[in-house]
Amino acid sequence: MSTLLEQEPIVVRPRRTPPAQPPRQPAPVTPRRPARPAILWAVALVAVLALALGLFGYRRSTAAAAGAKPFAAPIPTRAAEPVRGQEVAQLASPPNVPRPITRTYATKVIVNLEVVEKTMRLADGVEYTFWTFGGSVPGSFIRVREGDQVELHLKNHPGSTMPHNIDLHAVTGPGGGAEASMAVPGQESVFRFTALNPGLYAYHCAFAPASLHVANGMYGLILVQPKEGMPAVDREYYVMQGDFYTKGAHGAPGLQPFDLQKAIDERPDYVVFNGAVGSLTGDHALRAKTGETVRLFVGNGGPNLTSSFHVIGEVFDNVYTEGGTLAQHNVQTTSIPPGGSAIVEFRTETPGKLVLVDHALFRAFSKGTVGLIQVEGGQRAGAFGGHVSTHPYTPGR
Amino acid sequence: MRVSSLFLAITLALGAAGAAAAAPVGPEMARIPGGRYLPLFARGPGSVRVAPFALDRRPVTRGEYLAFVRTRPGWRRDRVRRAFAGPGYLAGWPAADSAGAARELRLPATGVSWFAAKAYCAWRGKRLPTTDEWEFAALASESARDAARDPAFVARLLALYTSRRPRPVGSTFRNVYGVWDLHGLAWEWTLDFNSLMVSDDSRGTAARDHALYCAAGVIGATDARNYPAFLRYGFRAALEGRTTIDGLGFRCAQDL
Amino acid sequence: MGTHLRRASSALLLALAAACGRSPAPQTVPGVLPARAEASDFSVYELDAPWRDQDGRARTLASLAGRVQVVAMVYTHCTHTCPLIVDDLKRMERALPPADRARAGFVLVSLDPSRDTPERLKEWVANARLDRARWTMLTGGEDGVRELAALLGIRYRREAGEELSHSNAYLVLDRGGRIVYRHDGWAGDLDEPLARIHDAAEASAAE
Repeated sequence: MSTLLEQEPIVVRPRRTPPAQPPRQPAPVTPRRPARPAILWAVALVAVLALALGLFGYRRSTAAAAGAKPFAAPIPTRAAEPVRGQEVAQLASPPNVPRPITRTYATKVIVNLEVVEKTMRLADGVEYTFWTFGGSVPGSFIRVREGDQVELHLKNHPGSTMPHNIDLHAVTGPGGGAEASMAVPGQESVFRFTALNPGLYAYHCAFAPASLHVANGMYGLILVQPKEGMPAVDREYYVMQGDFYTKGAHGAPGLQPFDLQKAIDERPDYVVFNGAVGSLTGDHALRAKTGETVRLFVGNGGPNLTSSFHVIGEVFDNVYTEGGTLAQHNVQTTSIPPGGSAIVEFRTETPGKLVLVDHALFRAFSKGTVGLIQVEGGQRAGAFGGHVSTHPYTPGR
Repeated sequence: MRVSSLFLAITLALGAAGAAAAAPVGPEMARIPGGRYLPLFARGPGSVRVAPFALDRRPVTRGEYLAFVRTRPGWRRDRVRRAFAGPGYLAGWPAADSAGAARELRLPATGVSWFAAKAYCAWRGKRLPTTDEWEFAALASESARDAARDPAFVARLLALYTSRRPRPVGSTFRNVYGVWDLHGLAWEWTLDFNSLMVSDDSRGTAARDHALYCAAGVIGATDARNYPAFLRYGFRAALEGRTTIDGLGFRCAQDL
Repeated sequence: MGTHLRRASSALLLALAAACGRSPAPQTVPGVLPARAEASDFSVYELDAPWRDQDGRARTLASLAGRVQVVAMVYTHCTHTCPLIVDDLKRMERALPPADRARAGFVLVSLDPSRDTPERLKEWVANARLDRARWTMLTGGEDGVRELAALLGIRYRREAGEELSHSNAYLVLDRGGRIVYRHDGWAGDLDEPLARIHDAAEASAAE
């Protein structure tokens, strides 16, 4: 049985000390002067009015930022943008992400996605017959822009045992496209949808029984970039968690069939990032340099477990929870439900290993939910002090 | 030889005495006694009655289908009417009039459409089994007539379905009726494969969608754990008459 | 597209169709767009099972060639959605420009041949006020019905009792019997099918 977690030193996060403040100076005292009462009243009135208007403006701006009344956020109507030209989407296999879209208009995007069932490594000595979009688990990353008219060509390899289809959570339409995209083995189906909502969305096969198709790895992510674009970062990566249910226990060698009872009981043998134990460790660790901004597109294919996504040694500067457009800041662990996603962003400060985990720790330690970002480069001054000293401790003396 | 001629005489007599339209049931078929069963998608209360019928013990093989194609050249892949079969018809065969080497002739005849399977069975004086007949026969394990709710049997079927690869007929198991390979060799056509109202997005019960279907009674799954049945029914729902798939073959049935 | 008019005219029928009783589902949804499919590479008229029409004449499907045909499978004892399908096809008939209407026909094929005899069909056609110059009703054998349904992608099943469950759909066939358009559910927006009928009527009847 392979060691799932390398022996890392215990990382102690240094306490943030506030910068030193200069001592406060007492306010200068001016001698009082007698003033005419009318002017005084006028000044007072103006001051009160100014204060009131100022406060009112402040409250409005913060209130507007906070959503003035509770449960009163507007529900937009999304008009279709005019579409210019067409292009073929460049998909990417995990952990890579297609290049950011820089065009400022909506276009017709042709997505060619092949479904192929293939036996691959699940862990050392363990194989599983995965059902895949694009030959990988998770499936190919699709990147489009808000307003794009997407024409998706789903091609089911003739060697497949089952018909397949696709439900993209970005789609507004029957079954998220599932009804329009079914293809039997040896068939290609084509359907079109408009990417109305920006955000990071999961997609998965929904052919009956959908739970089984997802359990076998048929899921991936589609990013609908907002029309305003996204700020550039130094690194973008694609990580998707999934739980797997095998006849044998964790580590039992050979080709493992799916175990229905364990799946119904939600007792997985493997909980992994990107379809296999060790998919993001060792030679496959993600890479970054110190001082770089990193954006992770994180999804959870499930089928059953919610991920408590955490990167050991890092704080998320931004989290777009649930893959939506609202940012949360300074987050340690974010919850990603099955069929959900999150975008996390941070700046690397120190060299070393950042460890991606599901913070439900028995999954990380015993089922495989561990990944690495290897950060190389210089140390940013003051970020992490490192080890100071070790000496005996004898209580009671 | 007296025994064989006696046998022949009895067979002929029985054949003549039988229903005028039905051909005699040969030894390649098993007699399935009638009964009641609860289909995965049951309409209304109560189970479905299946009358006794005869079913081929084995799926139709490539070799048998080759004989059909040679006798009825209109069913060769270079001559078949487009309405009867899609472009993948017999795509796995090396040539229009050859089904491959001797050992490949024992493979199940797959890559055939429903129209083609129907025509073959008619050529043999038989017909395709109905979905109810097929499902009824498929409830059986080696020792029990109805093993559908046995979790071990369900797990075994699921493993068989998801690990299918080309193998000769007789490679899986022989059930209590003496019928081979209903599970795990190839999916099989039924006469009324298009009688089930499910949509391609089968997460809900689309039969409740009254815009798409006029269905008498609500159709819901009777056994949420019967994943092999979900796979079979889901597969059938994706088929059309012209569909040909590498992993889809057939066998024939006959009235008793 | 005349939504209110459609709903008003269907209100009476909807009241009768309480058993299947939902209001018509909208066909166009904001997100998923219909993809324009190519004509099928086969002709439905390759099926050679025998049929009879409402006048009792022996027909083959090939006898429908030469006109653009809108085809649906229904049965006369159907009190639920079949009248609504026919109503939708009649709407389509009225909405066709005269030049296209002259080159189009409507075909209703019975899913229930045992009860839908030619005499029954004739009576039904009269009651439904279908223009006999353009409408054909066909009844055949069980095997022929199963084959046509399998080719058109129509699902149906005879239930206990005499009811039939069936999918609701209609298809547009070009003059040679190739499928150029398919609609599942009740007709919503007619723009697409009317355009396909027009295109098919303009195209030569190439085989």
